[in-house]
Amino acid sequence: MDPAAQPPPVAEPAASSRPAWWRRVLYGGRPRRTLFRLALEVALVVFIFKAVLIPVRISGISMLPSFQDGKINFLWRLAFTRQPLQRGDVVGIRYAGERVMLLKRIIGLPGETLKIEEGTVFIGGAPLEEPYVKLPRARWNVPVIRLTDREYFVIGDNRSMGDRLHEFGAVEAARIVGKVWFQ
Amino acid sequence: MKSWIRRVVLLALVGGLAFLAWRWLHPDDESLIRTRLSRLAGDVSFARGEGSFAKLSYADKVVGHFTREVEIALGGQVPELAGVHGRDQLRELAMGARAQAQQVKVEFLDVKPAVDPGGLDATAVLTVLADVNGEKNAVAQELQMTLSKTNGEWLIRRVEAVKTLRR
Repeated sequence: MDPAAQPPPVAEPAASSRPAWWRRVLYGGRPRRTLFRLALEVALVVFIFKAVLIPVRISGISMLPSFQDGKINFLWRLAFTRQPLQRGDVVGIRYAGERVMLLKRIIGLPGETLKIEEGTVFIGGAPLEEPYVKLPRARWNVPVIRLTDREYFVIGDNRSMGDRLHEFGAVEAARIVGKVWFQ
Repeated sequence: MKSWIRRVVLLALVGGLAFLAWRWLHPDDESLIRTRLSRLAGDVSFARGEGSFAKLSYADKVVGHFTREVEIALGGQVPELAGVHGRDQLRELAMGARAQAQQVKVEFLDVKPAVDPGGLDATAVLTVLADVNGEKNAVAQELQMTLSKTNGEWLIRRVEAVKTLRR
């Protein structure tokens, strides 16, 4: 073939060899790497929000005024790995699973004896100071209850309602899912 | 992508789809129990302004999920369901509830069925969450249901409340 007959070499524009700017913005210069990173990040977020820090939406008035109805909070699952649960901790308690939980404050520890007289909590006969109870207390009366070695006594901060309308009592430690992150 | 990788991916996809199709056509007992409970939640729920026919068929739909000798021992948040024995009593109660309430939405969450080795009895632990007349989460309670397989269908034989907190 006559070399003179060949078409002259054409310089391609540099932009055509690179992805368009909007593609670079959307998924970077290396889409496979971006996809892998995205999958990893999604997996990490799912793991954290399932196994470490569970997001919860508070529903109800039993923890007023400390926790308002409709607010978002988190349950820290690893709270008990270093130190055991303490009096005053606010914890999430599961029902059959973790899609619905009770949010309550621990006032009685395993092995303790507890009673409520005219709205005042007594632990082992001594009245318990509860600065978190800010609403007026109704005159609840609960006979003496002895907690087993695996039970905590939990209750809400809002004691202004009738005791039949308020869920409280002894709970198995195994039902406690985590401690509230923002107290 | 290399052709053998493409083949493996395709094979895995086809295998997965075939497995899902098989499970859909031949559901195991646990899936059947979940379906039964999901249908019950749907049938117990009702919205505002439903027609008269829906109201009339409501109780029949609800009791259809239970055995003739059903026992319900809930109490607690729903005192009317403290001691129900048999479908007839349950039907009356369902009709009464339908007449009194304007709107009920029931959900069964965290359903955990366990079938006995014989395959004719099962238990299911779950959380019931109900909105009543617009009040969100008016009822939240853990339940244990006992079911029996009758003529190939899982029917609820007993419902009891599980005490999450002991007083």
